[in-house]
Amino acid sequence: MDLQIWLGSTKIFLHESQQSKTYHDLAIDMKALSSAMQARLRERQFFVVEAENSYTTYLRFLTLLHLGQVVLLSPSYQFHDVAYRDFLRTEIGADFIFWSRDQESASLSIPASASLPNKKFADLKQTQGYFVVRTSGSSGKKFKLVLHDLQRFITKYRRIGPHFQKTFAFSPAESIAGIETLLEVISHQCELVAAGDRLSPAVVTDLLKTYEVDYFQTTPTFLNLLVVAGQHRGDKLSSLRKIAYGSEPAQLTVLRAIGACHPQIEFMHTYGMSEIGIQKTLTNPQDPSVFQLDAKFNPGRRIEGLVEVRSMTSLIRYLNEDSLPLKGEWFQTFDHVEMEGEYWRVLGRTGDLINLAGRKFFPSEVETLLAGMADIQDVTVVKEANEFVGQILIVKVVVAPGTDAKTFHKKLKEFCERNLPFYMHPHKVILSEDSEMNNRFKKVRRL
Amino acid sequence: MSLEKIMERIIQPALDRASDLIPYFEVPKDPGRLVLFGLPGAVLDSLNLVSFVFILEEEVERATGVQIKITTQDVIETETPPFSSLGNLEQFLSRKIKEAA
Repeated sequence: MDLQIWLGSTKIFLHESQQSKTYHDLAIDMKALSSAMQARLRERQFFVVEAENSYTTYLRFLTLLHLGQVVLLSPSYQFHDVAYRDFLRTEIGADFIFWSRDQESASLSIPASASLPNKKFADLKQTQGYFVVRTSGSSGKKFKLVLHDLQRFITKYRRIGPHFQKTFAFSPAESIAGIETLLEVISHQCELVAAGDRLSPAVVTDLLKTYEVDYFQTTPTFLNLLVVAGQHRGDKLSSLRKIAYGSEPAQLTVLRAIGACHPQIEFMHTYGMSEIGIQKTLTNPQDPSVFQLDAKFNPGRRIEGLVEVRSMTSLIRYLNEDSLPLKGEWFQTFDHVEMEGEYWRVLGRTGDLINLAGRKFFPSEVETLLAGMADIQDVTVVKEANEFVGQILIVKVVVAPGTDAKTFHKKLKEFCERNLPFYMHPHKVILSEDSEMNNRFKKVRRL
Repeated sequence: MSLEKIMERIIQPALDRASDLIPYFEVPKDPGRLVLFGLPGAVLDSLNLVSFVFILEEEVERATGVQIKITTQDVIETETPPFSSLGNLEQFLSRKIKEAA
């Protein structure tokens, strides 16, 4: 990142809450924050930053990368979870600098010496920034921590070249899709519109129209809901030239409904994962629910139904696992795809992982949070396929005999509002006083 | 079933149950102008809309004995978004119940 290029630039970087920041503003703020931090940092350290789609998060993330630090963005619910912090320390064997949303840089607790373990970090170039994405695996440890080299992503965006002017920060800031959105935007001095993380179709489409966004990166679920809300009709999507979506199977009827109202929109089925970033694809214009990987940028192949990719933005390594799913240069994604002519249709990954509108988490994470409610004796969370949002959460709880269901549901509602991220709220709750039934149910989930 | 009965026997009980079950969901004092989903001021967001759909399907079955399934395709085929107003929802449910009966 060359801040000199941004100094004096009147191009808008970010629209947020009716305020705008130019690239000049960003460069000045990054310089000021860099100066303040540099005096206190003696060596490369590992930062965990509480993240949301906001100027503050972007400024901190980019500044730390600019300073050659290692950064993990973390959603609030994990950032404040003591068990998650212990997990990080244990898995990586290092101390972290935790930077909460409201904390000024001057009050950060920076250890005098907090060397990162040589085994995992010694080969990193001193002046380059690196970021870490939390992902999940289908076997073994639940969370994998994926180390990425910022420079690989910048190189990719330069090769692809600018293909939009304004986009919307839809994906969670801490996800690979959220990070790629930010990095691609700054690579070409494009504009970004941010509106927090809890987005409704009405809010999003208003912002797309207000800021004349031309490129919208979202999920199939959100497109379903946008159509259910009737927001595809009218002129709110009239500035869009391209809609990109991935992460879940897309519904052709929904894409066609949007296309019928807005024939100017090109549909782009993306493909990516935390370990390899978002890949460049070619989408079938006749059926935009299928795609190919673009061999000029990231060749792909299908071996026994599973995708393997040679990505420009492959991870350096996992920080908490020694082996990598690599066959030479080919990364094994373990995603099942079926062929439709020359194109692929993603069938998804197996396992317990829940993918709810692009937010990925395990049933056990929800179970752990719900187990904190005093009235719950035991809890089991399962996922179920759903047409509107891809997957939903069904919660079975064991309560004490004689518990009044109406009272319990009210308490559960209040508990969820206080303690669970909105995307972990259960969609169906089944009450039981029979723990045997619950135990059998658990076994089914773990098959 | 008349539109009035659909409101009284299906939608109103569904709203009451939703108030007890769905996080952040509250029925306003003047439910006549309620926007459920998709327009500014809506009381349901993208993810808890699904919970309301389940409740609605259950209330339809309880009140009529008829099982319905609300799908994306139904909504695409509807001229007016069914969750934008209670009036639209009445019309939508009336059609679904007739089709399923």
